[in-house]
Amino acid sequence: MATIVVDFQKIHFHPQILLSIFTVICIFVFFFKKPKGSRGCDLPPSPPSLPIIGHLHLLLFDLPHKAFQKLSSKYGPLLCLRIFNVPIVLVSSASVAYEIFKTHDVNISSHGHPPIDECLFFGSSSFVMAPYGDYWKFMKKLMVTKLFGPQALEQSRGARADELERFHANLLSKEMKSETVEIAKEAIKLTNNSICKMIMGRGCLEENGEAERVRGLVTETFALFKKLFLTQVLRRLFEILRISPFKKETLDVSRKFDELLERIIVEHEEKTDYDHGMDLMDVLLAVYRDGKAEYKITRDHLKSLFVVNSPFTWWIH
Amino acid sequence: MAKIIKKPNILERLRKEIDSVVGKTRLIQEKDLPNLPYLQAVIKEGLRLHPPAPLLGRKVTDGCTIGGCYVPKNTTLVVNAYAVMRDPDSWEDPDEFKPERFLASSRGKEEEREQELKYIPFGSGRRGCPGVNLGYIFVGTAIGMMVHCFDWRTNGDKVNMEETVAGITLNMAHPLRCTPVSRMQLQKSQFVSS
Repeated sequence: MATIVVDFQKIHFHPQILLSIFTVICIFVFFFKKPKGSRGCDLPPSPPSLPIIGHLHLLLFDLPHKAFQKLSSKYGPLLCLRIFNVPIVLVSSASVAYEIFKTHDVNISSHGHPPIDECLFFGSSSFVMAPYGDYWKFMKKLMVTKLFGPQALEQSRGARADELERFHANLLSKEMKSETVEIAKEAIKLTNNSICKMIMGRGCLEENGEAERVRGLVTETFALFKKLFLTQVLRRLFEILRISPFKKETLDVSRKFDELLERIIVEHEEKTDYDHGMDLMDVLLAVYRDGKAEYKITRDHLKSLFVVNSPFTWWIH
Repeated sequence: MAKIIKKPNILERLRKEIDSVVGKTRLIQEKDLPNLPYLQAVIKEGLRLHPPAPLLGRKVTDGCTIGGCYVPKNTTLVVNAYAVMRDPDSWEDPDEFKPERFLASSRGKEEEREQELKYIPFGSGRRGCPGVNLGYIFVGTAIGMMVHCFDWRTNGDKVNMEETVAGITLNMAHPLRCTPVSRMQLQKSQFVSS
């Protein structure tokens, strides 16, 4: 014991050794620092990162899913990444994905804080962003029974068949005129029109420019997705810096949707004949008016659901 | 669709199947879809290679252990569906367009169940897309009809499969051979792809 103490004292007086120990400690602190909250447990492995920005530089030069794929093929199927101070766990293999969807399904059934609260489509009243709770369960049940369930799909089959026929006729006329067809665009029109019929009982009107306006809005919304994703992931950082970079443009689009939907809702409220059955909007309005409904939905809830349905049509192509 | 155009043998097989089930006098209907396994397989394969929403974002509500590692609560979880569905450990030739892999006859029950778990174009679990059925109906009838009634030609042989964040945008085609009735009437036409 005594010798060790003596040795230590001797070392203490060698500045070079002191310096090299200091350097080694620095390297450890910078490159092997564990993200906050590890509480001594093993976090998923993490590729080498830079100070402050973390792994941000690895994600900037490619489409996100491709950049992530490159990382996972190099470092493994379960990774812990850090963008500034925000930790992200990345899952890229079938077996880990299976594990989280089966074992931790409820635990991961929320999407976290909405990026911008007031925004209609990704705000706090949005169905997509809603935490896994009463509101979400109620809406999901409604959507399944009234829109996506087998019975509901059976009922709306006629409307879709009509739209498919119109699509076919449209292609025929393009053929006659030897025009080129942009398939993705036409297919989106087809799905959009069909979904409009299913949820509000009529297609968007081409004549007064309504359809074009909706398509424009959907394009704008889609352009916002990436920014909103970023806002959501970096929400904590933005809060610390007290900035909200995409708020204005998001709220702009949100307001335009709001005006459009208000018109459609009023149109439905004034409707008196239900000869053609009830569309989704009628059903939702009934729930909205019903004081005894299982869950009290607001006008914003109602609108947000419809906004979500329109970009959704893009996703399936 | 672009993938089908690139592979004439797949297109041929698809068309044969639709012809035999639907015939040549009417449009494809939703009720035909269950009888068209190859069409379904082609669509699934298309969605496997090009999922419309490649990243799924979730939040871990409580700290938990995933894959033997600890994940603290409130961590953002990103599932890269694109990578999962091209995971070489789970898929044979992950980057190849092979609809056969989704045909029931080529595999047993066990495998089928396993496949459900690694195939997640609509997400999975409670928060998975509630419109899956409708999605398949739309894509099924639209692609079925386009293949059934029209021939599509490209200008040159290249179809660009490059992806943009807005999805795969493809500029397509002149219908060349058209409707079941006029199917014998061949016209030469041009096809533009960007």
